[in-house]
Amino acid sequence: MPDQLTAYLDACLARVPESRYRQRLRQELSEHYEDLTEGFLARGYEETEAGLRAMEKLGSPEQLREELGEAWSRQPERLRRDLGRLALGCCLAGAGAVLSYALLWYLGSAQEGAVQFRRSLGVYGDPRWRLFAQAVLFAGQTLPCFVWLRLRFHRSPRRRAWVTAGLALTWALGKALLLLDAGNRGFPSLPSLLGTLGAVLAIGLVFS
Amino acid sequence: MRVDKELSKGSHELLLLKLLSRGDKYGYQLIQEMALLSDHAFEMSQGSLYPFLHRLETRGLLSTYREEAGGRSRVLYHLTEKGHRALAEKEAKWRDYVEAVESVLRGQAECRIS
Repeated sequence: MPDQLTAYLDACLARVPESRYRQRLRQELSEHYEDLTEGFLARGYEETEAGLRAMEKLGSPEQLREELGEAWSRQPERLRRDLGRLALGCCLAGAGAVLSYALLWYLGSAQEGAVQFRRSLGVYGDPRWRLFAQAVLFAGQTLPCFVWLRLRFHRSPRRRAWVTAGLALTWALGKALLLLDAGNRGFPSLPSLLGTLGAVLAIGLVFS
Repeated sequence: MRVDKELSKGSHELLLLKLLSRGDKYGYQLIQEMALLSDHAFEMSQGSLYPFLHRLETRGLLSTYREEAGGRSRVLYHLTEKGHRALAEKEAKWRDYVEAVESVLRGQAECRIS
């Protein structure tokens, strides 16, 4: 494919992300371009001139970019991809929660050691220690996810947003379920739930 | 003769469905036939044709397949049963519309005569 056609198509498809639909559009527009070029060649135009006229006939890249971007927004594939990212975020949050509670379980089962450790640091019974431990668990659960999001989707804020939404939603639902089942087991209160949800979203925005 | 853009925009769907009712076609072929049959009165922006066709396909009015045509492998568009029904409905609405416009125009002409 000539360079100028590649550049033209890239400009027209700027609002359509890498997807089957983008491949389809690229293929159909290329084939149409070839037919137009053949028509101009048959009329006696030089090859370069025929190619330029064919691109003119296809339409301005600015106009096509808007129209093709709008066409993408109506594709079923786009909705499937967004839901897939939401699900990915939910899975990440779920995995983070499982790891956090596995760690809590380990600390619980090694309680003697944990008590000795806190005594040696002089923080046994200190509420700041509890806050620190909660902050470490929260960071351990969410920060790797957000760093991974930043690295994996650094060119696509929209995809990051969907996965972040899935993360935040699952984390909030998990906490809400614990809250409903709380009884007197020392689970987070509603203000702390809302506060930490806000923190999750803030970190997501920072890393996004 | 070029038809007013706003008038022709609304007719594209009807015209494309009608052209496809006469046989499966690929994109360039549709553009060429539309221009030829209308004596270039209807000339759709060629790149814009594809998102338009894809919209019709998403609505179930068209289906596509790949085949050799014009010496090359191409995507051909086919009018589905649902597309045929939609075409019949649009043609009926178009006739009603044209009849209504004509009767108003005739009415104006009669007023001038009297």
